[in-house]
Amino acid sequence: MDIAAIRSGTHKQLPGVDLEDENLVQAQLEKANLAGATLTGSQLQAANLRGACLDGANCLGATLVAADLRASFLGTNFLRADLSRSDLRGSNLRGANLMGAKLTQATLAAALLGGANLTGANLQGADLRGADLRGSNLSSTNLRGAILAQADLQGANLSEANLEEADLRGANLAGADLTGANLLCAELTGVNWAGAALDRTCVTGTDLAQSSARLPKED
Amino acid sequence: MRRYRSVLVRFAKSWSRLPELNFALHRFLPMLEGSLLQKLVAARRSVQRPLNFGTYYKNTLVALCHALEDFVLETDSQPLLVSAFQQGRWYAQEAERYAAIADCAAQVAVMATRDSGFADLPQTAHRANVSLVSIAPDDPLAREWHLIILSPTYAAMVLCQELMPADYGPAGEPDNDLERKFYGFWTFEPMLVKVAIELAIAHIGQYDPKLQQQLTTRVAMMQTESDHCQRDDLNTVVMKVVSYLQATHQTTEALTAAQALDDNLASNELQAFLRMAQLIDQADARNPLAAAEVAALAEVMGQLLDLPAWQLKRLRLAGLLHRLAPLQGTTITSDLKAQAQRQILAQQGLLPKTSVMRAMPRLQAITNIITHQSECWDGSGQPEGLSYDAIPLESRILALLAYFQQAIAEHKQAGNDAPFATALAVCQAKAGSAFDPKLVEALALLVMGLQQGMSLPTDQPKIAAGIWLLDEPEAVFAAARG
Repeated sequence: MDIAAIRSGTHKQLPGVDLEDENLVQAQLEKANLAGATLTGSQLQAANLRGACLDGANCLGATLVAADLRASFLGTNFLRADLSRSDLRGSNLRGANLMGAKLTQATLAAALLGGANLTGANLQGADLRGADLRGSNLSSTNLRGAILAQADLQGANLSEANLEEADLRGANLAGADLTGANLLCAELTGVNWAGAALDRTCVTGTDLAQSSARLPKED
Repeated sequence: MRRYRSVLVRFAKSWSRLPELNFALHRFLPMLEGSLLQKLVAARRSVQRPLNFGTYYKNTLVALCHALEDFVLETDSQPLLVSAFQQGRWYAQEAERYAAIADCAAQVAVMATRDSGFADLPQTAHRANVSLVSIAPDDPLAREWHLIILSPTYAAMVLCQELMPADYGPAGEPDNDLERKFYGFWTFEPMLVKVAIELAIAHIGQYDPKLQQQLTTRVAMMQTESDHCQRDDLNTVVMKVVSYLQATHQTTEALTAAQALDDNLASNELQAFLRMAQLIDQADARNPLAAAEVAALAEVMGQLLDLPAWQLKRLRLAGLLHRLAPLQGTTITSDLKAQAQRQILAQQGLLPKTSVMRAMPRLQAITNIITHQSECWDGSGQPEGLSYDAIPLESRILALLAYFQQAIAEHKQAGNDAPFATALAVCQAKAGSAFDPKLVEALALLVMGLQQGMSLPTDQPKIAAGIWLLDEPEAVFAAARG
């Protein structure tokens, strides 16, 4: 297989290709078809994967630091992958496995993460503005200082998550499980709490002045 | 209704400190009842602007307080200083410094619980202008850390509360004293500082009514005086804060939570700049949202131009800080020969302020963008006379949008019906001379969107969590190669 040709973007039709442990730093893979590809342990720093399709690919332990990942990742496996500072704006990550992945300072604005598994992931300082996280599993994730403004977290599992100093303005937490979550100094204006589970939730230092805005009216 | 109640019941359960279930959610403030922080929040309940709470390690607070205190030694006016130290032994560590500060301050009041000979420390025991107030161990203030400094020309405060043991989570309280956590906020806003100092003085009144009387008179005197004097240059204070925090980085290496402590320090360095930008905006009654709006416009513009995320983030931060550069619309700073002139400009804070940012290496890229925002497309600008594509793209965007936002604000104030169209016309007239014509075209697109009802998210940034805005050096490296 010609790795150089793949890196320079000559080959784009690569469904099911095996690129395990390959060096693909700064590879030009714009609009490439990598569905079902094996990318375990590969180096994809600063790679351009814009508009690519990686549905069902396996990126276990891959390094995707600062890569352009505005692509489709339906059910992709990112177990323990490093996606820090990557660009995932508007990406489709439905049903993806991001357990233990590193996503510090990544940009996930308006990304689709419904049903994704982010257990134990590190999302410190990530930008998740307006992201769709309905029903996703965020238990024990580190979301310290993350921006979750206007994010949809309906029915999400945030138990034991660290949301210290996170910006949750206007987020939808209806039916979310926040058992044991840390909301220390989080910004909670306009949050919808209807039916959220808040046992042992730490909310010290937060200003809840306007967070009842969308609570259902007393009947 | 049942669901509503169950939420409230769960809330109430989670706060064991809460005396009773109350149905008005806004009264569910989980801060220590009777603490100064809680009183201050209650006092400004009606004000919309958030206080920007953050969490701070003791490590950070020590550096921050030392910087703010040490500025007292440099300012000409004599400030009033009220501080709370939790326990007397913490004050004992600082007594030497407080003796020096007392020489420059009008009056110093220190609150702490009585232990280890707090009241008769030799350094400050016999000074007329230092009063030590022994507070009861069950006083809510015994869990708080305050430093409130007020003078006619300088105002700063740190107002924090230590976490309750339960708040530390499963890991429990840290072993190392420097890793203890506090939550609260710090600020330079004179109005807030004044409210806080009045609350603190009222609290002192419970222990020492005579001192309360004295301090109240002082504050009243300062109020009249502050109306007719020039405020101290914030640049110097911010510079001090940043350099003190930077110096603390080295001491964290040996600690277990080193990374978290380091992030906390870096985040506060950035906060110092963001708070300064916030004050500049507040002082401008004609255009008080400049930073937030320019940042939002820059982000949308960056998206229109399909810039990568790291560049957008950089643009956003540069937008928030763009007014820290005094070079806009003025060239007086370019060629200063007379020493006297330099001195006066320095006093007025008119020397290039981006130099302040050089104190923080991680902000270098931002400094560069802001420095070059006054360049012109045709090369007739400042400071280096760069032209065309030699001007950094972010600087070109920032220059155009800062001008555009300012024009909108002016037209809105003048009661113009179509501020967007008018402001765009002004920018179009300057395309090719001051601004990059391609960017002006993109701006026309953006204006079309705005006219069709697209709204910009001009939320004030959450200053306390500034860390997400910072680039890491390797990211810049990777991006530069890409």
